[in-house]
Amino acid sequence: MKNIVAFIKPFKLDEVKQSLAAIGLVGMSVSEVRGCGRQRGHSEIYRGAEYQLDFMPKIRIELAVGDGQLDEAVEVIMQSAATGEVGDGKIFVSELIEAIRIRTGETGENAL
Amino acid sequence: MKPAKTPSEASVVPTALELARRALTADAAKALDPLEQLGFADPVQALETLDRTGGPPQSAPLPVLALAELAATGRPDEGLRQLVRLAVAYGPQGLFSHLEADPILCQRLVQVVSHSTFLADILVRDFEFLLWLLVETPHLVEPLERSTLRQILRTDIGHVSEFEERLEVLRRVHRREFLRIGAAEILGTKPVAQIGKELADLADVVVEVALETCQHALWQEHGQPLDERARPARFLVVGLGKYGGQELNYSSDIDLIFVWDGEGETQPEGEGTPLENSEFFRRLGQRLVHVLTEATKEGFFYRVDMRLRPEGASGTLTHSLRASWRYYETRGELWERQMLIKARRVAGSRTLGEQYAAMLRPFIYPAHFHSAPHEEIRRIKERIEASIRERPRGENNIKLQAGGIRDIEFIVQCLQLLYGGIQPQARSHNTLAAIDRLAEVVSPKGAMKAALTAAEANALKNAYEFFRRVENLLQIASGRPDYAVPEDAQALRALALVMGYEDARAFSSALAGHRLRVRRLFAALFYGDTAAPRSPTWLLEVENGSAAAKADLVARGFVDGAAAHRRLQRLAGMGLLLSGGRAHFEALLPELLNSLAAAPDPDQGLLRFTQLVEAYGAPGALYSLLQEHTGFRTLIIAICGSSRFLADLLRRDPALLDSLVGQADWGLGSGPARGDLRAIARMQNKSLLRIGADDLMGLATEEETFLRLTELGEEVLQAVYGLAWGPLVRRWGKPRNRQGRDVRFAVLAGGKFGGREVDFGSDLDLFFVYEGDGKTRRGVPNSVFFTEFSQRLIALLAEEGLYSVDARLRPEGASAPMAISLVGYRRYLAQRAASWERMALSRARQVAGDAEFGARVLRAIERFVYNREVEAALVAQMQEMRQRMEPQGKRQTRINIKRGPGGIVDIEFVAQVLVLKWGYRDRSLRVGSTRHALQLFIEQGCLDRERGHFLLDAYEYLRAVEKGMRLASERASDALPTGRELEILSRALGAKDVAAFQDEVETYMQQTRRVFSALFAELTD
Repeated sequence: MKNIVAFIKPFKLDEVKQSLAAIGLVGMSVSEVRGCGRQRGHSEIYRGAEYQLDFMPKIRIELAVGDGQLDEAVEVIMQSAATGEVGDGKIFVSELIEAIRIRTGETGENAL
Repeated sequence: MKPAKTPSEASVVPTALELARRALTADAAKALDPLEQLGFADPVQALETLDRTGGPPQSAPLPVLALAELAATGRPDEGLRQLVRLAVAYGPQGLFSHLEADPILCQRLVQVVSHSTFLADILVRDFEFLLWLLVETPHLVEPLERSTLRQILRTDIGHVSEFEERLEVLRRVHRREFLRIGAAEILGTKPVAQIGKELADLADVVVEVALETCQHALWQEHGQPLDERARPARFLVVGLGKYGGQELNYSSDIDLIFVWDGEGETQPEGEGTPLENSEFFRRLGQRLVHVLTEATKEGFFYRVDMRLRPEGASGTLTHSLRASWRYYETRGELWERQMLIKARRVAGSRTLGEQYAAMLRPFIYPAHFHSAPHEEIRRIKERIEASIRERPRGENNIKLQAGGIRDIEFIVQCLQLLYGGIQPQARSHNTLAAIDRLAEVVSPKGAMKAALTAAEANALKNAYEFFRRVENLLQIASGRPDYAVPEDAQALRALALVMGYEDARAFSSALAGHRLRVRRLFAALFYGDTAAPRSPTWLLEVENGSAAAKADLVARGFVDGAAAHRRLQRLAGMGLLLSGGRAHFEALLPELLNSLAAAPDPDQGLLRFTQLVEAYGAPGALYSLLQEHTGFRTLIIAICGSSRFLADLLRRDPALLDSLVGQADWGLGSGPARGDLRAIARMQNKSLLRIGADDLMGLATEEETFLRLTELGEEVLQAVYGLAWGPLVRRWGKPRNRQGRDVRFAVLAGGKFGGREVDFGSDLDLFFVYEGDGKTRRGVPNSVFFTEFSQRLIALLAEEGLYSVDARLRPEGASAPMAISLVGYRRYLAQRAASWERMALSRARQVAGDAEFGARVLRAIERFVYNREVEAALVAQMQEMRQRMEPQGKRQTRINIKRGPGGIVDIEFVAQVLVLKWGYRDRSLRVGSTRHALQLFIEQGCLDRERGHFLLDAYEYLRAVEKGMRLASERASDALPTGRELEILSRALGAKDVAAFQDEVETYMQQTRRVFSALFAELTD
């Protein structure tokens, strides 16, 4: 099992959710985040710096998937979250050791 | 003691007495007149009522004095009706002979029954109270202490043990004492504070006896509740509000809280069932409330309000001391602290009462505050104000209206919360006492001034006493919780008289004076001396459709306050996935409203802001960014508040916001997207936004903005050129001349694009020239190829809404083929071009295609434009053309700042005609830009300074107006808008008001036209 955490542009959330739902992934947690640090590609100092920001808001989605679904899920997120602009976000994948459904005690992928 | 208020005996009484005598002795027909003069509204009815007193044969007639006194009350009709009713009930012993014999009794009785139907009812029912009240008890005038009252009651009730019977006696005593206090009120024999205290004492004694009675009954059923160490568990009744403050009135609810202490269970004697103590006390509380509120044939004691208890109406009726503590410690709100200031033990365990008070003290009066209590109290107050403003009958409400009783209580309680922590003497549950103490409060070292000055304290006390007396009189009159000063003239006069005023007007002005003083104090305390703007967060606390919110937003500059309120609530409630997101919005709100209010169009601004937040998503994070970053906030609000054009761009493609404020890459770059029309469109939008943003933020001058828009036009045009060229060449092959060499092509610009003065939403004036005839490799004639290419270029530019192209500058105008060969163009210029075209082409330049070839075309154009001096015929032609351009007919009614007389075109014509005139000899004076041309001519002395600078000034101004119009709306119109749109535009341009703005525009245009005409006249000379 894998845990996927993705940071995407807020206005892409609906698209990402719909695309994930289309491949059967409906359970996820969603939160707003304000990053700190700098958006990549930060080189040009523009005179309009009066209203420049280091980091625009992002939406953080987190979901757990079975090993078999990982590639598809990542692909779907990449496609639906892309605007082609700087700051489209990132996807982090990590190993998930165990999942347990509290009500039934099911474990592993059955619990996802 | 003499009654505080007597009708002025010297002047009125003799006359009234005389009239009364006549009314009572004359026969029916002659009695009507004096009755009317005595103030009877319905003398016929009064006469009939008087006749009925003749009923019982032995009874004396109505004393003359009584009738005269009735007249003095201001309510003679009602008073007479009650008096006669009383006489009938009193029976043949003869009430009137009592009155005849005792003028003081007569006067008092008349006053009491005239003013209060409610007390008259009690007297009719228990007429034995009458002599007790007016003759026997000394306490109609003298203060009655609670201990004395308790003794009196104990004497009355001592021998009665049966439950219902005890209550019966209690009700009777309650009624009697109530009558006594009410009569004292009307007669004005006791100050307001004493009345309030006696009413509270009476309630205390009633609650005490009722509690004992209920407790006794429950003990018999379930035994006495004991705690775990077998000591009696304790119960406490706490009074709050006016009751707790010992300033009770006649008919509002009494607020109670029940507290108990000592876990355990009851010890029944004999067969009773034991109960958990919590259950026992719950039942006790229930029974007590029932006894106090139950309506029997004898009436009821009090309405009881238990909603101030922890968790309000949804909480259990009784709380243990420990549960109360837990509640206040963890969940107690500011309004609860304020409300608990008034908490007072009214019955039950004295020791528990002390413990309870000690427990509450640090909660009500903490030594330090975490957040500003002023602000929090203001929020509560604003909530209340908002709800009052929505009450249709709030007008005369002395309790709730601004400057009324509620305001005074708020002032006092707010100061108590502020000072009570460090100044224990400020902690009083009684309003008047608290005012006194707040005026005394000084810190030991004198570092802190008293909370109230002596004058402020006096103003508050006087107002409070005044309002409370009015309130009491209103309530004692009807027995209902009335707070409205009567509108009816007679009722108002009667109230004024019993309050001791000469007439209704004197009373009303006193009332207004008190209100005003309280209101001022209130404003000074809650809003600061400088009338600082109030925090608008209360708008989020009131429900949709609130009239107060609407009014507030209208006052802030929104036209549709209700819609603005809905939008604010939507913004506040938007799916907040960020914890604390709402708090971020609340923090942002004041600045948001202020900035929008200052924007040209607050309503649309808020709508666009709402749409933007919705489109972007992550509202919580967005609010917090907006709140923190001034520049970002200013920009977003400026865009929403002044530019529909820019806001729409953002709403349609929220990703642009990231590019705008982040560090996105600019231009098209060299990536794979280069060939994509949509990529070009996005690049254009990004640039438009950036240019517009810099313009709104004042980071670019007008000239720079137009120049950047011009460069953007070139960049887009060249990108689209590349997009159109490849496919057509692949299909038809490259165009060649007869020698087989590639044929070149140039796109030329005229008008504003040529003059590098493009505005937002401007058309591009273009025309197309190719090098020469021939065929492509696949045999397509060059004329066909380039015409098709030009048309495609125009179509592609239109497809994504990039630009619309105006191609009317081409030879032969609108009906001719789109592209022309250089040879054909030269021939045209030499033979058929009209001389006015010299002017139009003076701004031509090459913007796309082959640069070298473009230069060749331009040389041909230059030869045509500057081939001869500016002759009179040309000037005349230009003038005629200028006239044709002016809006005709109906459209003339609106000011057209571009083509109207004195509009931008006038200045452009002046610049161009001067370019033709002076450029003929001097190449360096051949300039396309209107502004540069004018500057240059001023420098060179070709145009006198005064007129030159005026024209520059006017050009700048009118272009700014034009830009404002373009940014504000979607349609590119040159006519000044009307109505609301004109107002918005004038605000966007910083004008004082619409009239001033219109005046300014017209003045500029009239003067421009004068200069234009003069200059052209000079040219023809």
